[in-house]
Amino acid sequence: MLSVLIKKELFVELRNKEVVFSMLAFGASVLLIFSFSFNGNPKTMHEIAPGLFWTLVLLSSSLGLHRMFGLEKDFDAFSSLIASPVDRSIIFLSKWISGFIFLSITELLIVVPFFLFLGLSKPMSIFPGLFIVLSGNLGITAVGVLISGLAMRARMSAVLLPVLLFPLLTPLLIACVKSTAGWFNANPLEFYQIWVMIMITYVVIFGLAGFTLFDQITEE
Amino acid sequence: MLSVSNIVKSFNYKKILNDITFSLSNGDTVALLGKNGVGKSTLLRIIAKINAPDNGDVFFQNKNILKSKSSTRQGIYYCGHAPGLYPSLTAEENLHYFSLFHQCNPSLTLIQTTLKDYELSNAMNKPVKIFSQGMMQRLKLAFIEIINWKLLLIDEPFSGLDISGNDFVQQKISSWQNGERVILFVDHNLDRAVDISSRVLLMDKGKIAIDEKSNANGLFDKITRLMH
Repeated sequence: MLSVLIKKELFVELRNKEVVFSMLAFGASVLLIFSFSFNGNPKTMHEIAPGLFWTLVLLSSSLGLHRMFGLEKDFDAFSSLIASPVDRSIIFLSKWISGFIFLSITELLIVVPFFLFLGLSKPMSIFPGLFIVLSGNLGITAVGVLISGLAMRARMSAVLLPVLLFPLLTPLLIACVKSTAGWFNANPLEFYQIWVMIMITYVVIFGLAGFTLFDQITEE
Repeated sequence: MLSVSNIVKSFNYKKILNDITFSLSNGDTVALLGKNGVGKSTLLRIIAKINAPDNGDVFFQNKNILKSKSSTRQGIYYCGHAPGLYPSLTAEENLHYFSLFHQCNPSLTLIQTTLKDYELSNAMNKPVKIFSQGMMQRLKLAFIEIINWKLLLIDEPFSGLDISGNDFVQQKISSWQNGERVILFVDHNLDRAVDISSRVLLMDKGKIAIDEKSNANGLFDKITRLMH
């Protein structure tokens, strides 16, 4: 059933192109503002780049996460989905995985302009950075899907989502920024592994919380 | 087949459902009646496990579906007031995905034949967001033909349909009942509801005020008195 649900999520997105496009358009606009605002020397840019990158990801992802559930809210397809004999934990997993895919695609498209616009030099090795970014994405989408599921039934879900999401994501984003900075500065892993551990802990805790609580939070 | 016991539900501290208890057996076609806002749709949504009650239990085939795995709800099909479809997907795609969610895997031929039967063959490859209300209602009802169900919860099946559509659905409801199934539907047309059903449940002030067979003497008068 998980594969059917993921296929459905991807298929609906392929038809609408709302989640990735909205995140991409928003991310590109924020990136443009950043590139004009922070016209510092390369050293300063290098230092603030991790923070800028994750701020951009946070803002874009909140928009995408809202649309992910918004698409099912429009015609109340979500009620039909949860009324079917599908385990709601599996619905959470499908949303988490598809959200992770959408966010990763958006980042993939935005990362090259990010380096170009901010005049950043290419990092030494790609793989640690890739691991950090993908772990960050998993954490953001785990928390995001959980909170979106909670907020979607509210009348002002668009307002409620960032209000609930941003404070919960703050510790994760600090860990993401610190890990990314460690990788950016080509520090040995020992220097920033505590932050990587925090990220992984976040993924595990919120992944499990979503898996076990999604049944309760989706009921009105 | 279905046993609803002591269901209580409040919204904004106002008790909408107050100790609702009833049982339905195989072969029952039950009309759920009541004034607007009495909680008919909420009751259907609680049985479908979309809304959570404050208190009470729902047993389907002797299993408490509110406290058991989702697989215990296999055989319940809820057709709500809202379209409940993915607007960007076509009629065919919606049928395909929702059938899979209900553990059915209908052939493309069956889907196409059903859509033709429901006069949607010209629109089967169009996204449902462009459908009229009547077309949407027909599509929702087409699901009932495809999905294997034992308990059908259907909220206002005649909503948005023209006269011919009304007759069509009336015939369909009779054809869906094979003696082994239970149909629980909400309707606002008293004559029609009594005509189609084998039993009537009337809700008033959060409780089941009338629970009688449709051919019971004086039923119509009792209902009329409570509805006014």
